Amino acid sequence: MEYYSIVATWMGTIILISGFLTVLFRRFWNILACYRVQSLALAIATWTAGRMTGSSHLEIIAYVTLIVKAILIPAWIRHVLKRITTRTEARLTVGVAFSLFSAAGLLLLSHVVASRALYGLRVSPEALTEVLALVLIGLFQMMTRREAVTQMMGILFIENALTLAALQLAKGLPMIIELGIMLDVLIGILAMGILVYRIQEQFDTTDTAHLSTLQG
Amino acid sequence: MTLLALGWLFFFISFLTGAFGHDTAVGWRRFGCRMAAAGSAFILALGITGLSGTEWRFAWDIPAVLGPSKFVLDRLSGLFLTMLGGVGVAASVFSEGYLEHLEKRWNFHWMPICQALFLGSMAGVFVAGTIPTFLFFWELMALSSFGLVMLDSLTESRRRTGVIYLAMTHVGTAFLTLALLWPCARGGSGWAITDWVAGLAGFGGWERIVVIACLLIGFGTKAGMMPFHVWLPRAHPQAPSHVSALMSGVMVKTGIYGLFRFLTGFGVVLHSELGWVLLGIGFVSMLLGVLYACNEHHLKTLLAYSSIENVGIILLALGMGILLRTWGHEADAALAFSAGLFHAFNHAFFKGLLFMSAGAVQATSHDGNMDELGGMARTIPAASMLFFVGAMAISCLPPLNGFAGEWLVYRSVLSGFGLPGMASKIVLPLMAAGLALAGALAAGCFVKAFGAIFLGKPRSHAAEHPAAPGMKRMVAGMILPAVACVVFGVFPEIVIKPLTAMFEASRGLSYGPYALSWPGRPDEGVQPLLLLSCLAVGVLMAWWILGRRGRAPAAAVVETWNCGTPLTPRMAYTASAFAEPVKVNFAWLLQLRRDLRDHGPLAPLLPSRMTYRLDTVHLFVDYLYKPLLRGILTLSLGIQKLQAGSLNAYLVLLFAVIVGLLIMGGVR
Amino acid sequence: MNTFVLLIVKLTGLLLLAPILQGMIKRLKGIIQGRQGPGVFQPFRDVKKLLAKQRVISRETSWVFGIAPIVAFAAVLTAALMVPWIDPTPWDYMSDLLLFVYLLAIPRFMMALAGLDASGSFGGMSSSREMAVSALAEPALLLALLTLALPAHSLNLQNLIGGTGAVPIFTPAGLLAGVAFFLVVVAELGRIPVDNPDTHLELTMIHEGMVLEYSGPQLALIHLTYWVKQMTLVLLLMNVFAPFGLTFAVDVAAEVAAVGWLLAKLAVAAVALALTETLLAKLRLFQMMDLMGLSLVLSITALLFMATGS
Repeated sequence: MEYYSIVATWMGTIILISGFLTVLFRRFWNILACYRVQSLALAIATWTAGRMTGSSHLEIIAYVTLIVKAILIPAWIRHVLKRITTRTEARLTVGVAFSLFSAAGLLLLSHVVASRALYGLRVSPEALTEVLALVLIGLFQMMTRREAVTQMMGILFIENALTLAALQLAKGLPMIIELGIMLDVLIGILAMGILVYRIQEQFDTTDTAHLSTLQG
Repeated sequence: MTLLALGWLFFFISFLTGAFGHDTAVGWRRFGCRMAAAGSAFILALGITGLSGTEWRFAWDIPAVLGPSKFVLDRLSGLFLTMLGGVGVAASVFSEGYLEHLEKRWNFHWMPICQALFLGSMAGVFVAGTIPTFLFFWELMALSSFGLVMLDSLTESRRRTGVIYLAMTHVGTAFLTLALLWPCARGGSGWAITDWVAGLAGFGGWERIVVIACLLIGFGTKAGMMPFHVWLPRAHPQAPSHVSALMSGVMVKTGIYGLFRFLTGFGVVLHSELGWVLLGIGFVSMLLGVLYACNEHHLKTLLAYSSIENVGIILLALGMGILLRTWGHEADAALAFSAGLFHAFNHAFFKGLLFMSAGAVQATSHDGNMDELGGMARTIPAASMLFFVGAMAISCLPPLNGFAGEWLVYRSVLSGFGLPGMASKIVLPLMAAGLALAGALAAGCFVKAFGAIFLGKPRSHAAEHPAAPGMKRMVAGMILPAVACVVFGVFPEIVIKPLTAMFEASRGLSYGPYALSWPGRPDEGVQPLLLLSCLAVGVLMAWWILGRRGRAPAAAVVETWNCGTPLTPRMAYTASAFAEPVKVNFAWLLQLRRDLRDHGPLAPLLPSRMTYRLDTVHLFVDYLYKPLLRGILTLSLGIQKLQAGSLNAYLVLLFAVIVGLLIMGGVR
Repeated sequence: MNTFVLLIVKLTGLLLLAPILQGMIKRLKGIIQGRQGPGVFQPFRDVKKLLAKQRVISRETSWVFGIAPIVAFAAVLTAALMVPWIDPTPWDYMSDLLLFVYLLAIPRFMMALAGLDASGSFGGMSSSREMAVSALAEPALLLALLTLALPAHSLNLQNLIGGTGAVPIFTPAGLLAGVAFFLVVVAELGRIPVDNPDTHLELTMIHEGMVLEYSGPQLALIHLTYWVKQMTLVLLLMNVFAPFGLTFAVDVAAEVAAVGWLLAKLAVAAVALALTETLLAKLRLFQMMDLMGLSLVLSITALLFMATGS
């Protein structure tokens, strides 16, 4: 029991740190590595939660997470990234230092919200803080970086955060929903990957700022 | 009282030497400086008696001028008088040597006049017991320091600086006059400081806010707190160096003195909002002050910005004390106030020392631009060592007094942790981190200053001049504050004990066995003497290791390794280059403006002449003062239309005012 | 008297173990990289060799150059004695957290000045970078330690241990603070990804550039200072964030076990440092600031969690 909770703590921390690292990194490959590590940690956390509560469906979800999020999706993104030859770094609209401190600010904000929301309940607000912060940081990332690839990754990070929320706050969703979400994500990412690839072929760039030329 | 009178008497003699002495005669000038030093020594003695607990009140009726005046000496004024006396003695001794290098300009006999008035009026501010007396000395201090800033006002930009200084200080005084006189007038029982407190207690919500805000603006302008600091980095460098030492070391502290005198006194009802506001202002002043200091390449301007940083630290302690008091932790609050005062005290000495060293550098090289200096540790070694002591103290390295002061400030900030409210748990540790950031940046800033001035090769002929003629006297003046930096670092209790005794709540608290300790925490603290002995043992060990050279031959002296090319002074990092990484790091805050100009190619494939300019945007100057000035100008242009030039139009205005006043009176 | 004996023991142990830790890291790095690597006792041989060498000093140097390594050594030694080794009980020596942080600032200050002293470009470059990196490392260091100190209601380094009840690295806040502290340790020690301690001639160097002009016994002293600092930070990291095997009783068996634990911790630290050195690449200069920023943000997060947890 003690052992499981330690593992859960470690995995939660790894997920949070890899979330912060995405703010720090600007190379697509590094961000991808972050995602892979985060998904792995998520899978382990789900697996331990399953072991701790004795529910086998969490364990199954853990295996599926491992296969889909830690292996299939990264492999697909890897495939897409290899085709993007013009640019391997995200263009930033704000400095890294500023993003980092914004991330800290978002964390503070989510902490305030979380402790307000859970006020009076005997639940420590750490989990909710972490999840909210990860969602906000993912959105912030999508907002401040102009590459189609980072937009795609941002979605993935947000989705990971939401899965973590389901795990930590509701002890997992029903299996059918979890699997459905996973499938949605997989197909969505496939579609987005193809789109990114097309954009790259058509315009020789994945800078989303060029989308503004589409307006009529 | 005798001491005060003697001090003023000697200042008056110094004043007379300026008024009647022949300004080209060296003897007269030296006599004037010595009289100023003697006067300061008496003020120092007065301060020490005050700090050690002697109290007196002295009423002196000068109805025609100020009404019933009262002079009061207590521990608080004693502390500030000690500062004034200590820095005053040092600056006066220093000025004897420093003045030798200045060209004899026509207005130089104003120097002793203004300086004597300046010293005397500051002493007056610290002992004034009634509001009108206080304001009288305050104004005298502002005017005499204006005179000192304007001593060398041959260029347009210097005159402009003087005007900015005069304008800012008078706006400050205007706010102060309102803040100080209004509560007394409402109370109606008199003009003493206790009457002010009583009057304030009778005020309701918004009136109290107005008074406190005016007080903050008035004293904050003098103390150089942001955003009212703009005059400080302009005016301080322009004055002669010993005056800058006095201005930065002591005059800035009159603002601090005022805040402590009026806000921490007995019976003043405070709200925690004020504490948070002060904490915020202190935090901003501290960080922006040190960042601007890092980017400065003129030595005295750098020191001026660093003063803003230190004022921020003091305000942090003051705000913390107010917070702790409103939360009901009187004992901790007393320690926090003492921490702020102790840091103010220390700052007077190390900043005075640094400004005087800057004076010695300027006297020798006739240049204050650090990018043009270098290698001066060889021409003026004594001054370089004294600057080194000051730089270590201001970078709060143990065991000097800067560390002792900041340790207490840290402790007071952290003692608020765990008190009710989330804010205290998050904000206060962040404040501590901010202090650490400011400390580390200050260390970088002074490494840069010291390195650029004293180390390496001279970058221009200016830095190769032999030591200035009066160097011995200058060094003699600088030794006193340097000794103070060491003594108050190793024996901080000399000052801390009398300071804490000032507050009722701190009596009978149990401290740990260490010289620097916090009440109720017996097992922690710092013993600077033990620290010093440990360091000494370490030095001895290092000495021993270095001494075991065995068969090694004597050292060979060669060129600095430079990839095989000859070493030129232009290769070494300049002050501006040194600060570059910090600038880039904080570019989002400093808003750098880069300007790289290519002046056309010299020849194909040859690099052309280029100029590079890097400016920082001073947030408050560009985003607050400039729009404000523009607004005021537009407004006055609008009002100018009233100035039609016709007599009848003026009479109409006059008539309208009289009728308006009558109606207002009638309605009431 | 007891304190005095303890001081002597600590001092001797420090001066013996610190070079061995360095030797272990180098050896492990060699093995991981597929080389044989220098022996564990190589640092001792290096010091011995340097002590017998002639000093070659620059013409441009001033008095600062001579005193800098001495003062830096003294400050680091004083700081090193504050860190708990095998038992967390306070003894008659101040071990104040703030003092510790600022004592470590002294060598930085002195060596940065020494770097500027010789007037070369390399020294100035490294000094400038060192001060810029440390400007962010210092608050991060302080904040990481405060995360543990504040809930323990004590700024005494010894009281940090066991102050929060649970083992810090098994709690979310403690783990985050531990990671933040590790990042600071890497930066303070000038190891990859912040700096490369093995080369002299990279334009990216920080620590090595400042000591470029030193030679002979002075260089030996600087190396020794660096090793002691490394040992101190590693011990602090290990004992504060993973306080396993510390003895609370005065008992020979327990103390022997604690010494065993101490050596084990040093070995773990050596492996960790050697691994990060080998696996990571050096960051660009201005990305180091981001790394320190990350450390700060992690500390803030840890503080948030700690504040709600306690």
